[in-house]
Amino acid sequence: MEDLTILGAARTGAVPDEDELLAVRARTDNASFGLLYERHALAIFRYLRARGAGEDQAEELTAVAFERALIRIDRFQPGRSGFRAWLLSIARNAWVDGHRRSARDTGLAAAEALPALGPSPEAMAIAAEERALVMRLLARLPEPAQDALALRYAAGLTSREIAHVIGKSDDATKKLLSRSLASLREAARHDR
Amino acid sequence: MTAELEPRDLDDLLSRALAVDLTADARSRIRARLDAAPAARAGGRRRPRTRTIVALGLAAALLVAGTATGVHYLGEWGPVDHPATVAEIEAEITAAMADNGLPPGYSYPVAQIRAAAEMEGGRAQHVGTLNVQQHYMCAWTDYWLAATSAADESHVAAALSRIEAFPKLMLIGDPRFAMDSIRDEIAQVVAGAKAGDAAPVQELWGAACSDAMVIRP
Repeated sequence: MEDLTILGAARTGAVPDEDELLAVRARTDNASFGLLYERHALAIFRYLRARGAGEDQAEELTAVAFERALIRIDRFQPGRSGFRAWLLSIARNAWVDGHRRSARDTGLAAAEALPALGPSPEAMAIAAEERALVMRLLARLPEPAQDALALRYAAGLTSREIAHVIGKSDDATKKLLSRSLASLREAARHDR
Repeated sequence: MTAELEPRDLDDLLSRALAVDLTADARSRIRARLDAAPAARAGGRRRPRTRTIVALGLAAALLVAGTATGVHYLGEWGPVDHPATVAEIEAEITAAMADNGLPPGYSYPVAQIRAAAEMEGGRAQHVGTLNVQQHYMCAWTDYWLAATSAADESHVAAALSRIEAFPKLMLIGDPRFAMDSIRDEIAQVVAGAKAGDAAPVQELWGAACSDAMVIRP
């Protein structure tokens, strides 16, 4: 529907950002979708890894998420949740679908698959240890808390964007994030 | 490490620990899958190549600046706040074609420009001007490439003077419509044209133009 274009977003009172402009163009222009991919592939991949996907699975699900987004790009509506939140919603669904089909690959196994993050063996070891710790602590939290923290810290979403992704109000999302962090801190306290 | 985590420490720890890399190989593999995916688009709504290329150029042109300053200009007085009528866009197209002369014998594909600039749902202030300027750039790029290939020095010089002025076009020079990265690319095109290096000029042609966008003598 043409009304869902840049001007359509303007009429709703929202100002489309660069992603939304690209998403509108991506309906007919692969290059624009390519730019969106370059911008957001890492966030999607990190979210999926934070949810417990191994490297291969995260790569596969990142591809699936973008393929689905490409097919559905006509349905993206500027001026609502924003492109990034829309994309993360698709990735989240891809994770849920993929998770149902395959055994979970999480915790230390995911940490062991961590690529080199630091310039020195010491830095790499510290990074691996930190990741192992965080994945271990996350695994102890309820599913909604894991999801919210992954969206916030791995994908870099704002609380408002997270609210759109998980279908809660802004206030409820802020409370969820706050409670999740408190739970994580508590889990860390007991992690010896 | 885990006994006394302050809120800020926890924030930092989460951000650091979850910032895994997506390798270049993995990124490329996914990209290859996406490049192969367009045929599966719902409804088969792909448009002809010429139309797609126009959209490519305008996708860049209509991007708001926001790289260095984070300012989203559109929110203040850019195209979004100024929807345009067909008549207004038509006037822009006419004025822009008059202001931006083409190489000898070339002409603007007016119907194509109108179709792109006046499509329902995409009408906005400056779209007509930007569309014309893109075609203008394509025509002079084409002229320079042909003249260089033919070692026609006078035509090369004529085209070069126009190419050197590309950065001053609204399409390129106005930060509302082009990001710094685009200006950097155009600067490379200008430098290449000055040096007689066809590669960056050819690259511009390949990225933003097509045979259907120029009407040659």
